[in-house]
Amino acid sequence: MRNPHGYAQIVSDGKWLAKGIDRFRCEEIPSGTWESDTVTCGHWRESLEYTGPCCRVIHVKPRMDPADMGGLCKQCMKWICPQCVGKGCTPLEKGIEAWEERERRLKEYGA
Amino acid sequence: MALTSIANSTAGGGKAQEATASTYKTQISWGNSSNASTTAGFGGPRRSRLYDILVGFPSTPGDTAIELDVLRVSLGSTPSGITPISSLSSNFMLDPADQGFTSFASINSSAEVGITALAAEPWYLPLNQRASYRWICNPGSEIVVAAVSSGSGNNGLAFRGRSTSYTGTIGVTNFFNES
Repeated sequence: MRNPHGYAQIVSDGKWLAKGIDRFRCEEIPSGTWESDTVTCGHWRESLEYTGPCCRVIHVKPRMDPADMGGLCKQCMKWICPQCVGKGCTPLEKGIEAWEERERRLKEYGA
Repeated sequence: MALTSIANSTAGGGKAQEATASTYKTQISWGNSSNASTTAGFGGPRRSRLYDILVGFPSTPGDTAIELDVLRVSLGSTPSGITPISSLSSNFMLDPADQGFTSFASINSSAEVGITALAAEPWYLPLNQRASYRWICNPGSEIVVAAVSSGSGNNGLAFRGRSTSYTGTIGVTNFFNES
């Protein structure tokens, strides 16, 4: 893919089936070297299940359907993971700064 | 920005590797905790990033699957079962000119701490015992740990592994930067 966020490599002496790469797909890993680009989710996640930085790493299969990787947020133009799709846009850096600022304020108040 | 390489071997000091079991075992934990024995900086929470993961299995090769993940955890002031290696931080710096890191770090935990049901899992991979793995990312695409205390939660990362059939050890090296 163009402008990947990262790169993964598996070196194996035989082929095997990786059941549940990134918890959502299976792939046969060949003997020798397997290579994959990766993308990292660029959103801050705020939901009932979890609040905090997301940064989920997705391994990108060649010619993979972009929808399977999550998606491109058209507000911040960052790649986001499947769990962050449709949950609003809070860019990672903005969310972290607000979180750290909240803690600084609480300390100032003596909380 | 200090760069750190932490392997779960005793080469830099710390605890011996734990055998893999059917429940997750934390190989390396990293984050903000007041339990960190700082050797550098002013102490307190720091923002850090995991940018490189290397995994391999030192036991006799066999066809078994090992589940590996990086989980967000809340490291409190006294994480039990976790012996910090923070006081040895200068052993793990990539640049010998760096004095050490300020964050809390431990290897080969005998107890799992700070893991909540509402935690996120930034990285997950099932890996065959015959294989070895490496992930490295570009600057700006790391797995970030915010500079917050355990009161805010999710202030650390734990690299964990489990297997229903593999009982050997897992060799892990994680690279972090701290700002």
